[in-house]
Amino acid sequence: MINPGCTEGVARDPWTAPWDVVVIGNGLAGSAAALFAAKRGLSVAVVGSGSQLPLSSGLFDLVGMIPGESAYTTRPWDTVDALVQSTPGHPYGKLGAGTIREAFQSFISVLAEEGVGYQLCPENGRVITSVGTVKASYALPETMMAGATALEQRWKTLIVGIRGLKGFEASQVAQTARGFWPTLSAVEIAPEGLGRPGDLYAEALARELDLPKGRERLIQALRPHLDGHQAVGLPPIIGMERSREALEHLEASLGVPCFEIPGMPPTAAGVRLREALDRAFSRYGVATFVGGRAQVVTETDTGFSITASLRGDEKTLSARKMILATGRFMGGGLVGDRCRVTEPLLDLYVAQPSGREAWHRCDLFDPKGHAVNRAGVESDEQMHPLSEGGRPVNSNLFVAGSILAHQDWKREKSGAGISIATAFRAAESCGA
Amino acid sequence: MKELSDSFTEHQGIMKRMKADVTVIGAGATGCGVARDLALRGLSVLIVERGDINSGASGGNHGLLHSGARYLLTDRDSAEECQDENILLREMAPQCIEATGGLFVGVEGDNENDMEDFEGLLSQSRIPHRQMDVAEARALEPSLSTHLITAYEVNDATVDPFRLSLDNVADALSHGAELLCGTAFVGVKRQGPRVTHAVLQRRSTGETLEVETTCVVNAAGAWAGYVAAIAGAKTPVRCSKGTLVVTDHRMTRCVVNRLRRPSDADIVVPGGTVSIVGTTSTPVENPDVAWPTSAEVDRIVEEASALIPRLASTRMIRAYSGVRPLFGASGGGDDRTVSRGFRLMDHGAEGVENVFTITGGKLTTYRLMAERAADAVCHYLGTGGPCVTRTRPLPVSSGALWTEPGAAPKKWMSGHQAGDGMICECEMVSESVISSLVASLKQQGLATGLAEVGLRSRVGKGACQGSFCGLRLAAWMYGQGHLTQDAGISGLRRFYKERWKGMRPVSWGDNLARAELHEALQCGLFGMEVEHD
Ligand SMILES: Cc1cc2nc3c(=O)[nH]c(=O)nc-3n(C[C@H](O)[C@H](O)[C@H](O)COP(=O)(O)OP(=O)(O)OC[C@H]3O[C@@H](n4cnc5c(N)ncnc54)[C@H](O)[C@@H]3O)c2cc1C
Ligand SMILES: Cc1cc2nc3c(=O)[nH]c(=O)nc-3n(C[C@H](O)[C@H](O)[C@H](O)COP(=O)(O)OP(=O)(O)OC[C@H]3O[C@@H](n4cnc5c(N)ncnc54)[C@H](O)[C@@H]3O)c2cc1C
Repeated sequence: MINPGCTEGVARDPWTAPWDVVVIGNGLAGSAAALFAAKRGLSVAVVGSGSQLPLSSGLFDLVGMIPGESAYTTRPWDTVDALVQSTPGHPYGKLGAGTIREAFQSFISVLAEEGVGYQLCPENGRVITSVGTVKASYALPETMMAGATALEQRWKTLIVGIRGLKGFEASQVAQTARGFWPTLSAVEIAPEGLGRPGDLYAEALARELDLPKGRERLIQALRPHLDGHQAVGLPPIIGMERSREALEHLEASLGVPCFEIPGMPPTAAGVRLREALDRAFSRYGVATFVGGRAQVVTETDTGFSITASLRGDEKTLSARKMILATGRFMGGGLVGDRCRVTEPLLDLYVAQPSGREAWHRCDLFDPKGHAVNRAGVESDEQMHPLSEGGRPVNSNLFVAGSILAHQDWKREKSGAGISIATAFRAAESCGA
Repeated sequence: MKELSDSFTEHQGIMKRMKADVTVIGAGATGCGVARDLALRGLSVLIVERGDINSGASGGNHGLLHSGARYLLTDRDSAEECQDENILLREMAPQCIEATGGLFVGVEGDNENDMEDFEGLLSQSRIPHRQMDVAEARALEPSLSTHLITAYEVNDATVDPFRLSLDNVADALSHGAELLCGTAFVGVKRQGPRVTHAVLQRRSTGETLEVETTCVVNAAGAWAGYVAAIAGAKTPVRCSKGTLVVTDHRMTRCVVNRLRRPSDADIVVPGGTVSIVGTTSTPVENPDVAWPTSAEVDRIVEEASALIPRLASTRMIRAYSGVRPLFGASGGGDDRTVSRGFRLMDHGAEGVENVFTITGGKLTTYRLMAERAADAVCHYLGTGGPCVTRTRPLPVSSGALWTEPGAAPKKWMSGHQAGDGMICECEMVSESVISSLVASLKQQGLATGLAEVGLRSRVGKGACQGSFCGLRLAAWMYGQGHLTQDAGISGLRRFYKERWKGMRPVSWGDNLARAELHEALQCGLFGMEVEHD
C-alpha cells in the first residue's frame, strides 16, 4: 500500500528501516504534518485509516469568531489574539501569529505545486453557501474567489443549478440570500451529454469538466441564461485535476467571472484537495499506508514501533519520532463511552468536562458551543502531548490537529487553521 | 409568518367569521378522537392546536396498545378499560396497529410475591393470556435474559400514534370539522356562566381571532390545567415526565414487559424497524420544558439490560420525552401510585357550564375518552346522535402513511417511478412520498414547512438524524416551490434543534461522532448559528 511513485524513490525495505517520522492519521493535520516534515528533509511515512477531507468544503479557516459572539470577524488576526486571551490553553496560544502565517503560506505553496491554487484574505473572504448562509474564511480556493468579490460588490449574479444534482438548489441559494443580496437570480440547467441523467454526482461532473468537451457542454447550456449577469455561481464542480484550466476556460467563454459555491459533502472541492495532497506525497517522497489503522504502538530504544493493519495485511513500522494526528470522534482519535472520553491508541490524558450531562448544551445552536468539543489532548509549545500532571509524555512524541484540547473549531471556524498550524509546529519540532 | 403564509391567507377569510358548535383544544390523540366523534354525530367542530398534531404526549409515548395486564397490580379500572379498548381498536383501526403480542417476564431478584399476585389477578381477568415456560419465552425472544423465572403471553400490541391521530383528524375534516395548527387558545368571552367565544392566537403572527362557540372541550393533556384556567375553571393537574430511548434495530418481535409493579424501564416495545425502551417517571413543574436527560437514558439502559442484556451495547438512535397529566393528592410517593385512569370534568359546578375537560388516561383508551366527552357535550347541547366509533372503522387517510418505520422503504422496494429521487437515504423516503405529504398538508390548509413534513414522515429519524437528509429535503422543497425566501434556514434551524433534544442524551460511542459531523456541517461549514448581515 505504498505510493508507486514513492516506493521507487525509497531504496530500502520501506517498512522496517526506521523512519525519521511516522505520522498517524491522514486528515488535514496528518497530511500537512507529513508534508512539512518531508520538506524539512526528513523521511516520512503516514499511516491513515481513511480521510475526512472529502467531506470538507475546501475552504481553510483561520478564525471566524469567538464562541459566544454572534457575527463573523473582519479582523481575523486580532480575533486570534482575542481568542488566545479568552481561552487558556488554546492551541493558537502555543504558536504565535508568525508560525500560523508561515504554516498557511507553506501549505498553500505545496498545493499550488499540484495545481490547486488558494488565495489568502487578510479580512476573511465572505462567500455564499449552498444553503444561502454566508461563510467567512481566510484561505479561499481560487475556484471560489470570485464569489467573495461578487458578494462584496453585490454583483448581479446568476446562481446555476444542474438538474438532477441532489443537494444543490439554485433557487434555495438565491431566495435565502435575497434579503442581503437582492441582485441574485437562479436558473436550473440540464446540459446535454453531461453526466448520466438521473444519476448525477458532483465528483463525476467535476472530472468531466477536466476535459474541454465537458466544459463546452456546460457553456452551451449556460450561455442563453447569461443576459446581463456580472458573475456566475455554480456548485463545486469546476474541474478535479485541472480546475484552474477549467475555470479559465469557463470565464473566457462566458465573459464573466465564475465561482464555486461551497456546499453539502462529499464535495468535489474536498476530493480535489485529497487528491492534490496525495500527489504532493509522491512529489515529496512521503510513504503512505492508507486505509491502515495503527493498532499498537510501543516505545523502543530508538523511538517507536507501530503496528498497523489493513484487512489482515499487517505492517510494523519503526520510527524515531511520531506525530499523532488522529482527529476527534469522527476520525476515531478520541472515543467516548457513556462516562468519559479517552484517547484509544496511546491512552493519553484527555482534558474533559466532568460527566456526559455536561458534554452538550440543550440548545444545539447555543453560541457558546458544547463543552465536549473542547475536550482533547493537552500539549506544550513544541506539541508534546502532556500527562495529567502537565509533563511531556515522551520527548519524541508530538500531536497535531483537532485532537487538541481547548479549541472548538466548529464554533471558532478555525478547523483548517488549527490543523495546519499545529502540524507545522509538530514537524518543526521533529526536525529540531 | 414565512412557512405559514400561504395556507394562512387562504384561511383568513374563513377565520374572520369563524363559528363552531364545539371548539376542541388540543390535537393529541384525545382531541383528534373527540373531534372525529363529534363530527360523526353531525356537530360542527373546530380543533385548535398551538403546535402541530401530536406535539404533546401523543407524540412522545411508548406506542403500546396495552392489554391491561400492566395495571393489574396497581389500577384495576385502568386495566379493564385497556383490555376492552385493545380488542375494539384492533378491529376499528387495524392500519394503526401491529398485533405483535406481548410477554410479561419475571426476572430473578424482583419481588416474587408480586409475581404470584399477578398470576392470580391475570387468571381472574378477561385479558387473553397464557402462562409459558421460561425456555419457550427465550426461544420466542432469544435476546431475553437467562435469569427469567416466569413468563406469560398476553395480547399487547403496538400502535402508531401519529397515524392514529392523523387518521382521526382526516376523518373529522371529511365530516366538516376544521383544524387550526400553530394556534393557541388564549382566552374566552363569557356571558354569565357560558363561554360565548374562544379567543385564539396565531403563534407565527401574534394575531388574535375569536370563534363563536356553544361548547369548549379541553383536551390539552398535561396542559389541561392551564387551559381550564383560561376558561375560568379549575383542573388540578400534576405533570410527570417520561423518557424513552429508541434503539437502532428491532430487539424483539413482541412487546416485552418486566413483571413487577410499574417502575423505570420495564417495557420494550418494537416499532417497525426499531425498538423503544422505557419509560421513566419524574415530576415536572412545566410541561413545556420536558427534555430527556443523559441520567434518564443511563437509567433506562441499565435497568432494561436486566430484561435484555444486549441493550447495554446497542446503539441508541435518540431519546424523547412526553408529559403525562396526573390527578389526585400530590406530595410524596411515587408518581406511579397515582391512577392512570382518565378524567372527564364538567365545570358547571365552578360556574362555567359549557366547558368540559377530558384528560389523563392513555393512548389505548383515547377512543373511550372521546366517546365520554362527546356524550357529555351532546347531552349538554341536546343535539347529536349516539356514538358510532365503536362500530364504524377508522378510514385510512393518505397523508398518514409515512410515519411508520419501514413503510417508505416498503413502498420503494415494491416499485417506483424512474426519476423519483431519494431524499432520506437512511429511511428511504423518496420525493414522491414527500410530494404526497405536501399535497395532503395543503389540502388540510396547513403549513408546508420542514417541521410539518418532518412530523409526518421518517425524514431525519434514521441513522444520520437529518444531518444530510434535512439539507436534501430543504433543497428539494425549494426546487418545488414549497419553501420560499429564507424559510429554509429558519426551518432547518428549528428542525435540527428539535432533533437535537433527542440526540443529545444518547451522544456517546458512534453517536458522538455523528453529533460531531452534524455540527461540523451545520455550524463549522454553514454557520447556521451565526447572525448574517
Ligand atoms: C463536514 C466538514 C466540513 C468542514 N468544513 C471546513 C471548513 O469549511 N473550513 C475549515 O477550515 N475546516 C473545515 N473542516 C475541518 C477540517 O477539514 C478538518 O476536519 C479538521 O481540520 C480536523 O482535521 P484533523 O486532521 O485533525 O482530523 P481528521 O480530519 O478527523 O483526520 C484524522 C484522521 O486520522 C485517522 N485515524 C484515526 N485513528 C487512526 C489510527 N489509529 N490509525 C490510523 N489512522 C487513524 C482517521 O481515519 C482520520 O482520517 C470541515 C470538516 C468536516 C468534517
Ligand atoms: C412517556 C409516556 C409513555 C406513554 N406510553 C403509553 C403507551 O405505551 N400506551 C398508551 O396507551 N399510553 C401511553 N402514554 C399515555 C398517552 O401518551 C397519553 O395518555 C395520550 O397521548 C394523551 O393524549 P392527549 O391528547 O390527551 O394529550 P396530548 O397528546 O398531550 O395533547 C395535548 C395537546 O394540547 C395542546 N395544547 C396545550 N395547550 C394548548 C393551548 N393553550 N391551545 C391549543 N392547544 C394546546 C398541546 O400542544 C398538545 O398537542 C404514555 C405517556 C407518556 C408520557
